[in-house]
Parts: sequence; structure tokens; C-alpha cells
Amino acid sequence: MKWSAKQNRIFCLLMASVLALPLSIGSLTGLFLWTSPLLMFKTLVAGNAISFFSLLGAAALILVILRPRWYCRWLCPPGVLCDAASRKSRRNKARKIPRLGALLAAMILASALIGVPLLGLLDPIAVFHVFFDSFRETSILLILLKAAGLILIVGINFFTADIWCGKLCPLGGLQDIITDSRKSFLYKKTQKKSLNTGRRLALGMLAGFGIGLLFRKVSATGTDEIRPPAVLPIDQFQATCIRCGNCSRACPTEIIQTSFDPANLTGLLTPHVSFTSGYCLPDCICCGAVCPSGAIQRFSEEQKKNLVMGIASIHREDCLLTAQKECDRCRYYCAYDAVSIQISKIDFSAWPVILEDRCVGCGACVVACPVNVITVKPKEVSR
Amino acid sequence: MKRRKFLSTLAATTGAALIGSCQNNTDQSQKQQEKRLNSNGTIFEPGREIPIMAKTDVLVIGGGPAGVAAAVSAGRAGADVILVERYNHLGGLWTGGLVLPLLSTHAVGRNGKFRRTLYGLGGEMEQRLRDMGMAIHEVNAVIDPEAGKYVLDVMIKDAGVRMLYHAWAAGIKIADNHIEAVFVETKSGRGAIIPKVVVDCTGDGDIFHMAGESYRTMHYEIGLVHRLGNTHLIDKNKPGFKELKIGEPTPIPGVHWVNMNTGDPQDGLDAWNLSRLQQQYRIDIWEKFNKIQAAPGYEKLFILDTASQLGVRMSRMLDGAYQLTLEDTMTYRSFNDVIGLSGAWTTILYKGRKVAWDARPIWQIPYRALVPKKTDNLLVAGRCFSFEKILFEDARIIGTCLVTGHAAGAAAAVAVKQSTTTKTVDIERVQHLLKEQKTDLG
Repeated sequence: MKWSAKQNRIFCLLMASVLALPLSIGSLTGLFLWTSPLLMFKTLVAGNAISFFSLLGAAALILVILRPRWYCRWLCPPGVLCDAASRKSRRNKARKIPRLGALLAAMILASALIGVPLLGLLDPIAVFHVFFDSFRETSILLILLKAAGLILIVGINFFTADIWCGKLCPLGGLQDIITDSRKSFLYKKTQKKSLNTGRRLALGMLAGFGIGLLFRKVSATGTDEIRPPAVLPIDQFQATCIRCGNCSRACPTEIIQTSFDPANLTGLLTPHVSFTSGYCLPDCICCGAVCPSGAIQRFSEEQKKNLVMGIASIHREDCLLTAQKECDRCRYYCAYDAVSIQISKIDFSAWPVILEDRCVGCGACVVACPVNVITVKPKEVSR
Repeated sequence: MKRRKFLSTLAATTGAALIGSCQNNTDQSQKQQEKRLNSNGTIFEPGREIPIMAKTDVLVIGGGPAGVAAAVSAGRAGADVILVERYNHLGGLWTGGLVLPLLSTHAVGRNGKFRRTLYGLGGEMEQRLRDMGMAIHEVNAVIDPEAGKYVLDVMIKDAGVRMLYHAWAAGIKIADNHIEAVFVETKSGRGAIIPKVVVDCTGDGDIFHMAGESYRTMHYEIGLVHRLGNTHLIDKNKPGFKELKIGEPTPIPGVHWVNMNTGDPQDGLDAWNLSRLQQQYRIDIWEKFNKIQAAPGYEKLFILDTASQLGVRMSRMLDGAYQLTLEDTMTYRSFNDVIGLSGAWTTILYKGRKVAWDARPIWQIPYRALVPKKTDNLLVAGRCFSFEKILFEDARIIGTCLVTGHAAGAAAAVAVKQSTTTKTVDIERVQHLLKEQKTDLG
């Protein structure tokens, strides 16, 4: 029996679903995201996360160059769902709607070029992962927000068959652009069509540049949250992050959580760090390794020593040691020797002091403190 | 370093001297040795005949919580026991060191409920103090040190233990991994005690160090605790009164105990360092006290006492037959050779997550963690038993010392009764005896 494209897609759907489940499987967490040529191309243009896994996306890209819409026909998991929905649709294909997908793809790549890759979160593979990430959430609002994307792109196909895949999907749009330019390059025919594509491309790119620059201005507000180590500068970070939730899923101590700050809408659903139950392990590089967008850059254990997430501060009044009780947990657990116990020669009381030039804000002291008097304040680091 | 060197020199020389005394042609080798040692910055101490002070079944070195529990347990089990203590009191740091909280009496049981872990002799001591009104707080009781010394004296006396105060175990004679004699320095001079089994409750592991066992050392904070009197006479209505840190209440109204953390890791095995700290800390306490007393409202305070023992928190840790791990203690690990349970009193981080003190699981201590690798008639109890370093906060506290001490005493008694080594002792008999003595083995 011949392995058909359809069978392959269903197999991919199952595999991607398993990989997207909220289970930490190290650097394989959410691996399927790396196959998206759009995300790969975007990070390549923006010069962000290029890793071994990028080869998956690159391979897909080459196949897309050779065969029109190869990704859609062979891999795309949400595409399976969209097709199923389209078959139930009573209406015909929407002919009158322009192909916005190509426009979006152009916009994403253009904005990536100036370092604020916007709307990568519209990539269907990203949307698919965000849906699975909703399983992790406890707040109903976040569950709805995260689940909405996939439900929406599948749902609209019930009303107008094939509207997402054919007209709106930026990943599909990218494939169309590639196929069209390949045709015009090879055959120099179909003059009209390539002109059309060119116009759309130019328009999309212009919009990408414009919105990208505007976003930079708006986005610099959300700085009062602690972010995972090695994130891009905040404006770029919020634009680059595709909200796939890979970092949250991969984090072994589950400290990376979903940001929901109404005051910072541009940072909606981006990851932030909260030391309620655990801290950032000094030897863990998971979040950087699984980030397919490059919003969290890849880093090594060695580099991690210098990645500052924030600075701890101790509320001395309630500190056990200051109250002459037996405690040195913060100092004992600090892997960076950033806690020093000092003795006041005035009243001979001892208290822990954070050495700010050593502290990276990993939160070990926050978690270790028996009376919870330590907090980490974010530090905006320019890299 | 100096004391360790001193002790090992003593052990080596006495050992050599005793072997030498059996032979006649020792003069030349002794001279050679003398020459070699002298060039090393040392001086040769001539060997000599040492009078045998006593023979005994179980010899317990160190009268801290572990040593007392060990001696009482073995005594009650019918063994002939000698307890050697360098100071004039029992209870060690718990009483003489004024570290009054009996920590880790509770933890979370397998059913998820916060429960008591300390039973057995430790539990009995606590109950006796409670009956006297000399223990406060249900969880992690704080006791009165003088009452503690009294209760321990009574228990030791009633158990028929031969008590040797003011004596320092200064050396051992060891042959074929078997301790034949322990030499003690006393007011009557140097004497030898011939034991069947030795229990090392020195806290610093002096005996297993002299026996040549492998161990790790740890530098940690050293402090000197003191007590303040008349804390009930602080006049809070006095103009200019400010809340100052004056320690924690004890069972006696008006008396507080004041802990000392210094922040700097210190060598607890360096004699000069210990003396320097002792001196400095007492001066610090008085200077601090003078400032407190000068503050409005605190005029009637006085220093009741500074501890008669310097608070060495950690020094040596045995590399025993088994090293208890953090994972063992966090996962309700069961051991076939369990000899006790202990609890927790402070937060620990496990696999990157917080485990608060009142959420910590009870943990079993296996007998093998008290057994040194080589010596066949030595057991180790107290803060220097065999555990992974990160567990030191749980291992060094009074409750755990009481538990390990009790088990070591029981095991020593069984080993003597059955004429086995401490390595091959029938662990089921030990567990049976511990249960008879009301220990909870979880």
C-alpha cells in the first residue's frame, strides 16, 4: 500500500499533537513547530534562533520550492482539520476574497527584516501549539484565549470552504509567493500574475515595515515582568514571540507562565517568570533550546551564568536571620555566591545582603526563604 | 588542623609505642622516627605504659544528645556502659551550648498528615522536661538547659551507666580494624578503657578520624549562644522605647536565649581558631549587650550566661557504609535496616522546587549510615553520621542526634550480647529492641 499524502498528514497531526502536549520532554518539546518554513524563514531573516532543528524548516522550504504547497499537502496538521471542516461546509469556495495570506507572509518577513517580526503568531503551526498550551492554564480566560485561535481558523471553514488554507494562511501565502516567483523566474511567462504577486509583496512589505516601526514605539512599556533568561530586548521580544508556549512546557520547574497584563496588550500571552514554586535551575537551557521564534535566544550553561533575569532584594524587617533565628537558606542555595551575610558592628545583628553585581535573579533564594521575604525585580538588560 | 594533627600523632605514636613495648630493639627505630618527625615541625612523644581504667561492653564517647541516648539505650538493654564527657554536663550543645530548640520533632507522614516523628528516648526526655514545665511549644519544643542537664543525669544514672565526666578521648589503639582501647585524658592522668564496642558521639567524629575512616569536612558558621535575664522587666512605656532583638523565650519567664549567626564559615577543628572565636564572641556579646542595656526601657536586662560550649555547627561527616541522600529523605524511601525517623525544620529545595519545612516528608535513617566502612566495633551517631552534604541542616539538629544516638546504643548492646561485629549485627534484633524502647520506625 502506498503511503499517501493524506495518511502522512494524519500521522503528522497525531505526532504534532503528542509533541505539543504540556509534557516537558526536554528540547524535543513542541518540536513540530520547527518544521514550519514560514517560522524558519522569519527567524533566518531576523537573525534569531538558528539551530539544528532549523534544518527541519529548511528541508520543508526546499520541498516547497520544488512542489507547490508541498507543506500543506504533506505535513500541515491544522490543515487536516480545516479540510475536514471545509467538507462539511455548504458554501462554495470564496472566490471574491483576495489572497491575504501572501500579503501577511510578506508583512511578517518585512517586519522581521527590521528586527520586529510581527504576526508570526498567525502561523498555523503556532496557532495549533497555542491551542494545546491552553491545557496547561488554570485561568478560564487564558484557556479561552489560547484555544480560540485554532477553533477560529478551523471554524471559519464551516462557513466558507477552504477560506483559511486558500486565502488567509500566511504559511500558505508564503508557499504561493515562492511558487509564483519560481514560475516567473523559470518561464518568464504569466506576466500578469507575477505582477499581481509583486504588487502584493510590495504592499505587504511596506505594511510590515510601517507596523513594525509603530509596534516598537508602543511595545516598550511592558518591562515590569521578569522574563526567561536570554530574551530579546522587550520590544523585539514581544513582537518576535509567537506565543507557542514551548518554553513554558519545557521548563522543568514550571516557572515560565503566561503573561496576562491588560496594561501591556502588546505582550499578551508572552511568557514571564514567576517564582511561586520553583526557580531557574543554573544548569537548565531548555527554554532557549525549544524557542522556535528566537524570542528566547539559545544559550549554553556557560553563557547562562551571565544572563540576568532580575535582581533579588530582601525585605530585611521580616528576615529570620535578622530576627536572630537560625537561617542562611538564601546564601546556601545561591549558586552565584550573590548572597553575603554581614554583621552590623552597631547592633551586632546579622543580615543577608544581595551582591547585585553577581545576582542573576534566578529566584533560588526567593524559593528557599522560609518566610518569603525575598523578591526578584526585573532588570532591563540591553544586549 | 593543629588538633587533628595532634590527635593523629598521638594515635600513631601510642600505637607505635605499644607495639614497640613488646619488642626489645626499639631504641634505634624510635630514634629514627624522632629524627623524621622533628624535621616535620613535630616532636616525638615517647610511648609509655597506660593503666587500664576500665573494661566495658559499650563505650560511648561524647555526652551530647546522641551520646546520652546511646548510653541510656545500651544501659537499659543490659549492657555494661561507660559514657565519657569532656565537660561537666550532659546534653552537649542542647544544654551547655544553649541551643535550646529540640528541632525536627515533626514532619509530614505518608498519609500526608503532619505528625510527630520523635519518640523513643528523645521523646522520653522531652516528655520528662514537659512534666517539669521545662519545655514549651508542642512542635519543636524549647527547653530549659539546666533542667535538661538534670533530666539527662537522672536517666544516665537510672540506666546504670558508668559516667566519666571531665575526660577527653585523646587516642585509640586499633589493630585489624578493631578498636582495642580508647585512651582518655583525665584528672587522674591518661588511662585506657577497653571496650567491646565504641560509639562515636563526639560530633566532630574524633574517633572515626583516629580510626582512619574516610570522611568529608565542612566549614560552617560557629556561634556562641547566650541568655538574657529580666526580659519581662523591659519597660515598653518608657519614652524613646524601641523594639530591639533580644532572642526567643525559654520555659523560664523573663529568660530569653539569643542565637548567634556570624555569616562566615569557620574551621571547627582548628584549636587556635576555636579559642579565638570563643574569646571574640564573648566580647561581642557583651558589647552588644551594653548597647541594648543603654537603650530606654532595657535597663534591667542582664546577661544570665554565655554558653559553656562553643556552637560548632558542622565539622566532619563520615563516609559510611551508606550515605543517606536528599532523594531518600524527600521520597519516603524505606530501608530494610531502618533504625529511626526524623523530621525537618527549614525549607529545602528539591529538584528546583520549594519544600517548606512543614511540607517535608518524614525520612528514615538506615543503620548503614551509622556504620563506618572499615572498623568493625565502631558506630557513629550525632551530627557526623553518613549523609549527603546538602542534608546537613537536617542531620546536625538535636532531634536527629537523639534518634541516631538511640539506634547506635541499641545496636551496640545487641552486638555485645550476640558477640557480633557492628557490621554483622542482627538488624532485626536491633529494630526489635528499638521498638521495645518505644522508637517509631515508620
